[in-house]
Amino acid sequence: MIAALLILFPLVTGLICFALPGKRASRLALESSILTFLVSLYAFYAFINGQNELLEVSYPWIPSIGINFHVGIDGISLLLVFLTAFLTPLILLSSQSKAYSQSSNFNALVILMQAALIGVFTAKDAFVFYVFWELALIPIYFISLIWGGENRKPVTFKFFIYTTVGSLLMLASILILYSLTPTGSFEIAAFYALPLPPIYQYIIFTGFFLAFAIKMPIFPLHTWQPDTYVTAPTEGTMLLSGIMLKMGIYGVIRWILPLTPIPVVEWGWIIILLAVIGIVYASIIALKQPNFKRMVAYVSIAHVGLMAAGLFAGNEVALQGVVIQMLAHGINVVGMFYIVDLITRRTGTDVMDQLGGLRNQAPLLATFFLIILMANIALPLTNGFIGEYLLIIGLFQHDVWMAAVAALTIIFGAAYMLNGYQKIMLGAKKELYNHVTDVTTKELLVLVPITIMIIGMGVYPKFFLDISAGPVKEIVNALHQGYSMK
Amino acid sequence: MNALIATSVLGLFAMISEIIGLKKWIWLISTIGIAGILGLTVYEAIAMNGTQEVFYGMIKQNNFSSVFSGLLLSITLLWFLLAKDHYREGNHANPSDQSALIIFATVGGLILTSYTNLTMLFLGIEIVSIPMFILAGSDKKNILSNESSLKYFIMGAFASGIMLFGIALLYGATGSFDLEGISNGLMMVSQNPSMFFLVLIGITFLMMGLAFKVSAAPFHFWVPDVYEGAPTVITAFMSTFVKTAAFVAFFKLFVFGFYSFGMYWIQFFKTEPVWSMQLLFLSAITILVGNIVAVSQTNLKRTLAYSGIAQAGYILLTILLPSPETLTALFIYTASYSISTLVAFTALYHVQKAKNDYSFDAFRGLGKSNPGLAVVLTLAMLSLGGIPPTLGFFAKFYLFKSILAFNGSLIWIILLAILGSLISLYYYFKVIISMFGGDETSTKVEINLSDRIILYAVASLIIILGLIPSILLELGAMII
Repeated sequence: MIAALLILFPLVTGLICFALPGKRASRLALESSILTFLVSLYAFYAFINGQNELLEVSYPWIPSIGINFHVGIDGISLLLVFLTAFLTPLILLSSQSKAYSQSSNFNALVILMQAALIGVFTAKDAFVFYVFWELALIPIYFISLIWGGENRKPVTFKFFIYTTVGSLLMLASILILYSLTPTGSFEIAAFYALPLPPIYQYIIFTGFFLAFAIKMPIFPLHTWQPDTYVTAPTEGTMLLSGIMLKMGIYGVIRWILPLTPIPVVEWGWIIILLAVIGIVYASIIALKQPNFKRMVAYVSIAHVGLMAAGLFAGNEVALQGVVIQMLAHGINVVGMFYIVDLITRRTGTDVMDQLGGLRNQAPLLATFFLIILMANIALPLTNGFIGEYLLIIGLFQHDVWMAAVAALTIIFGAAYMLNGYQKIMLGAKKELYNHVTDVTTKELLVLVPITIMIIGMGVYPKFFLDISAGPVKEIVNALHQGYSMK
Repeated sequence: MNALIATSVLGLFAMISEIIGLKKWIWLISTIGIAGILGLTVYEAIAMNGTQEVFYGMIKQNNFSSVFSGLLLSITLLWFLLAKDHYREGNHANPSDQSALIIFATVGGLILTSYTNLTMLFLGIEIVSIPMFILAGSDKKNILSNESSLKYFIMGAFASGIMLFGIALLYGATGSFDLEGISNGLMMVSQNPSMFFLVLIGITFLMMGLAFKVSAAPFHFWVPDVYEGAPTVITAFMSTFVKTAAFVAFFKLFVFGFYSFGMYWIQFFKTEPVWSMQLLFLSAITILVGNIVAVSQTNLKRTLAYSGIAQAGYILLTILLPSPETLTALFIYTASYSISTLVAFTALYHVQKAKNDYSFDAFRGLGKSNPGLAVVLTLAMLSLGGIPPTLGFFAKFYLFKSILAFNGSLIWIILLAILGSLISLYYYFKVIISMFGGDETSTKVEINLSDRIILYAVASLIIILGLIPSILLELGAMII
């Protein structure tokens, strides 16, 4: 019930927003997203109290071919739904201080995007999953196309084509799975129950993996990402990096690991290798970026690389690390892009060499920047630390050398992040930026929740780890059982 | 049967209505008439038990014909609704001629859904085609329209000739024009090898003629020029109604005529029958040619023409693999394609009328000046490209699903089709990018309120049927 509410409520308000004038649309959007957030908190309550009947619903949708509107929330879904519900109000708040043309459409698209994302994270039926997966693409495509920066037409189109290639391959995999089910069902549970012969596992793995790898993105399928992040309006970048790339990681956890254990175990090393190459490659490029926003985009590739490696390490610790890191990374990267946006809006540039000494004009901004930056570097007692620590331990259990190289991400992270901070905030005061004001109250509304989450999760991660522990264990067990049956 | 007669009478009435001074009302009369006939068909379908034969069994009414007649009449109805502006004073000189010809073509379409005899097949094809030859040239002062008409006529006549030759050869081999008779006669032929070539050439010729009508490659060369030259409303009718009718006839011929012979062939020779290979080849090449050539087009009208070719490639797969499921897929796919294409052409018509230009540049900034029209066109494009939650997605999904369920080893053609739809996104999105991507604004395209309401209503069908495809599935399941 809650799951369906979390999808349908934003879907309806999103559609209403299109029809309202700008001011009222943005108010409605914000109110709706806050309400959704409250409902997601209630989902936590229901989950902890074990009221599973509240969390799952299934209505027949297209009964003649076995499609049900089946959505439900388990531990992993819950964290991602929470992430979506937590970030959407912040993203909307961040957009409200700017004057977008056609702002009602903008708000409507963001809310529709939220509905689609929650749909992806809760779907228990392959058809529903696929529909929401594609539906999530349409709002973000239009957000980037209409409100994006320079050169947006080719960039957004490249993004669209890339992700659609993946989606269609995934569709082929889903159709093969469907044709194998004895009674013709799209239920994910029915797929899990299938005894898949190895040859099918390889085919299905390829289809799904390409879809998810493009979305994450894993090296060498990442080429759409930096341009898109830079070109999209900041809110679009937040949606893309904060939530949308989690769709890919979530997809691997939900579909690839339990369904196709043989290729996961046999080909896992290739993917870990690619992911580790991605980490080093993206980190080195990040070090060389003159633009702060572009740098954060590459940093995101590096962080996702670590998560991707953890996915295929095949043990519980690493997978727990992935889940907690998804949540942490979503919050941190949105915080980071928000800081970029604040600086760019105040100074008109995000070229690091041109900036400097901003701490003198905006001390509070510098403080928040530092906190979010520390979380990105994975300093202990921030949320970033928990995830990366677990990931590296898990990876270490799997393969010592890969873990050693992947751990470079922490050193690299410190290097490029602190370098950026130094260039932007520290140094001599520049007269040019005397007009720069400090953080306003409205902006505090975005920064404070992010800071609370960073420190809260860092100090007491057990709350979140306990929630995902059950399903993570199940998935890892299914993986090992599936492989041993070969 | 009554629908057939009623439609013919309506056509005759439309023809003389100009003489008796009803020129102004012709649009209303035709629309209400077609709507009434649609209602009659539905009523008859519900009241009818089993099959009903007329004209000495040359036409047979059953669930198959009822459902597809309903579909064709709905397409004509939607066409009339969307073409309202075309019938306004001053927009066209001979409204009653146009109405009459469109209605006559509808009669031909109705025959094609219910024929059981190759004579009727030929008659139906001609009754659909001849009005189209005339209508393609109905913009008399436009040289492109004249070219379109002439080209269509010459090529169409040639295709009809080949088809007729195929019918004659089949008659020679089996001694029957009747689908059932041919089906039985072919079984006899298998004991008489000297007739074998006659049959194979006959089937191939029939396939060529019909492939021409459904615009499958390599018989598609007339399509872009004819579609571009003909007035946009007529192109809309040609690419939806005519194609759907031809596909229904195609399916009927190959499934009811040749299917059992094909089964026998597989048993006897241990290979797929020759025409299956030919169809597979046609389908694959159509998907590739349609999609690849569409990429380099610079105006929406030609792009839609190639898109129609590419879509024909997907639909051909249903004829290759006939099963109750693929028959439903044929129904859903043609319905989805027709609705989306009609909406796209109507949007194009309004833009073309306002700006006298149908290149992609004409759509620049439309997202700002005419957000409603831009959204409608975007929906049509998303549906043609097969993006959820539109009807086009479900149609494609169901088509692929039904083919895989039929024969899992044909996964490669599904992958080819998926590759094709991927390429298609490139050109479908060209116009979307034009409309929303730029900073420039365009002059507002003025559309009459009633036209706008109709257009929005039809476009909303794309979403409604996409979310509740059970409606179409139930209808499709009734066919057999």
